[in-house]
Amino acid sequence: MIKLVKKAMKADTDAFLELMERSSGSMYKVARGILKNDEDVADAVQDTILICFEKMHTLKKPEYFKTWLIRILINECNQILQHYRNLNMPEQFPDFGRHDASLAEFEFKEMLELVDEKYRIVLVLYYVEGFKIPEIAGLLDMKENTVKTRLSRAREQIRTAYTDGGFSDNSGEPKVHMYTDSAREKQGGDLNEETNRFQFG
Amino acid sequence: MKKQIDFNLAKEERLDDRIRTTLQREFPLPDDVAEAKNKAFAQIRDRQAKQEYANGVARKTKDRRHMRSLFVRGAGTVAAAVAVFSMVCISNPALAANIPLFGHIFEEIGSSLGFSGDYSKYAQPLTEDSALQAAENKESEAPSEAEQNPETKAADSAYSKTVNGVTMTLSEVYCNDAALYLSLLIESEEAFPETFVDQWEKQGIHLNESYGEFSYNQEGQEKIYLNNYLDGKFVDDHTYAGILRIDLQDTETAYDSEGFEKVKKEFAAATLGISVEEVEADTEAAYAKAAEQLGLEHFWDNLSDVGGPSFQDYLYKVSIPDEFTVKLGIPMLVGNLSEELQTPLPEIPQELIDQYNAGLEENGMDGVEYKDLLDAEIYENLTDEQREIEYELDKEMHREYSRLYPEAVAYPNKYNNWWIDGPWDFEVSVKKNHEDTIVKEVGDIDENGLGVVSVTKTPFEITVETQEPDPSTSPSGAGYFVVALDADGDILPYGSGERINVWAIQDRDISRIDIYLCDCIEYLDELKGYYWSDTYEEDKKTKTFKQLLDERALHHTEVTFEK
Repeated sequence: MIKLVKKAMKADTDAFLELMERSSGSMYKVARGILKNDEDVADAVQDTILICFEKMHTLKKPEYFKTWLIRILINECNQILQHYRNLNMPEQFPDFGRHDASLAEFEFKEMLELVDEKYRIVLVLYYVEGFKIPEIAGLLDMKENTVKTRLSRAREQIRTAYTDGGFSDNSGEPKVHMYTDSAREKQGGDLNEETNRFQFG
Repeated sequence: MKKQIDFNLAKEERLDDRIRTTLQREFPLPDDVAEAKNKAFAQIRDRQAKQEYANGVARKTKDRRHMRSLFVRGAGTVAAAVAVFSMVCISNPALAANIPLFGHIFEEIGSSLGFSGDYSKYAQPLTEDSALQAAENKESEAPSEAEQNPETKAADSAYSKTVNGVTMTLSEVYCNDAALYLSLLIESEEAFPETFVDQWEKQGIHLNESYGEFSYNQEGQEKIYLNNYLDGKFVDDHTYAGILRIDLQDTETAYDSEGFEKVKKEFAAATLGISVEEVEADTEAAYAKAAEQLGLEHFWDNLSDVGGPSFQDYLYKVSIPDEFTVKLGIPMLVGNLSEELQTPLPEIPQELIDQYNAGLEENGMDGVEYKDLLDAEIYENLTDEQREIEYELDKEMHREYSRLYPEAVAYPNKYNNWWIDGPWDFEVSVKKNHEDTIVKEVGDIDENGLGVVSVTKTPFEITVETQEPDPSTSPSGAGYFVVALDADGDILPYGSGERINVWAIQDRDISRIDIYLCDCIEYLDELKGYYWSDTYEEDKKTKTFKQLLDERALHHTEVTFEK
């Protein structure tokens, strides 16, 4: 990744696009930690890629790439939220996934749904992106204690959801496989064990 | 009891694992997002096609030299006799005078920098006297990391530090209203490895993770990681002379988080009719309740809509005094190896390639292998579904590779970099020099709230402070982009700075500058391309870039300066 960043910093467009390709999963998850539907996430990701391309020359150190990218993305997401606020509209309408979504995608979204909106981005930055508490505080312009509190409350909410389902044994797996069941219910389809995708008909 | 604790800890770990596993599991991008990503890629490729000319890159070629043992992590031993020689030369003013560059870096290389000019006219030498002044301002405190480091030589002076065989010396300082400039001489006992030279003829050398502590910063915000910009050159195999530019804008915006939190609590207390202490007993719950009562989804920065405090009011600009001290910390010196010295990363193990190939076969792509897909033409022939499968397999392979060779994906790494561990720490007394600095309070704001607030011209840079309404009010909804043209109608250069509202003057005629505010997307996608196109020299006979901006920009301000 660092090599790609360095190439991209040297105005290598192919390297830049490859870098964005490899970062797209991360970008999606981070944006989804702030925005409620894929349509808005798509806008944020598209704008972020264009801005990064335009400003790549301002990145001086490859090791700051991830933080730099995430900061731009968060800013784009916040602008979308601000846009809704300015129009005095309720924020985005949540979407519940696609009919061809994978189980992994459903589980990801369902887990985010388990926690309050304001805790989600902290959860994603910590567990998906592996940022440390002080780094998250810096990215989100909030105090470290606030990050800790939000992380702790997010975990608490997930734990509660699991406990409501009940732990089946000591494996840590919830007794009720809420993600799979609810995903199937929303999809109206069945899980194909081989492809890990839902099938219809 | 211990068993219960162990059980609880285990449960916590399982919960953590479950969250991590669920959130980290990868999946294809949803269609909307994939489509948006592809659109962005298409726009970038389109722009690339338009700017092909920019790829004519000239790179210096030098004879290949061998990398010396000093330039790897952990190599702290140096030839003692040589180390003493270098240290004495630099720290003893009498001997230092024999080194032509010492005290004359601004004079020698100022004209070749991004923010070029005659810095020597404005700079002050850093002497032991100024170090004493800094020391007087210094409160008693624990010894710095450098002071505790056994590799730091006892004879270091205030502005010259030797660590691991590398001496860094600050010799001149210049500070205006835009930036702080420090001249930096880096000398090594062993020859520096040949270092990469980029398309702008700049050598890839970084002061990794360097930071500054400015005396005017608020408590809790002392350490600011610097987007510093080191510009200079190797004057011989052992010596690098450069100028470190620290943008003061990075140091002057602060957020009073405690102040905002305090008024938020007071507002929550007033809303709920309880005391602040009661809010503090369970802040999150109180905020949630107050938000509900106010009909808000959250109790945060939109509070001003319902008569509460505004987050924006707690962002403030720190006033930078005319005199201050800065502690500069440089933990590591890193260089990018020249292409000749770069070594290939470890090859992907055959086992991983076999797994990847097996994955292709399992998914019906018989007869296609990893090596085939390195050929762009073969890859282009894959269907979208096949590409998705290939992408997943490739990602899995790279994940495994990172696990096997973590050192290859780290920065710095031995394949692409040389580096020396520091730290080199300095404390510098700074006095701003306002000579030849002009601040024009323009205040040209239109009825939409868009315009230019002020323009600051120092001897080396122009900084424009704009006022922009919410980005959503721009035609594309993406915001605004500020462009500055010199008196000849050419775009002013950025000078490799970090800010898009700061331009280098270099040798441009800035007796008049035209500042335009354009729609961000329109400028980046369309207008800018007109100026940079291969045919602009011909096109401008019909319409100059300035004329195009006069037609299309959303705001225009003209500012004149005496020649």
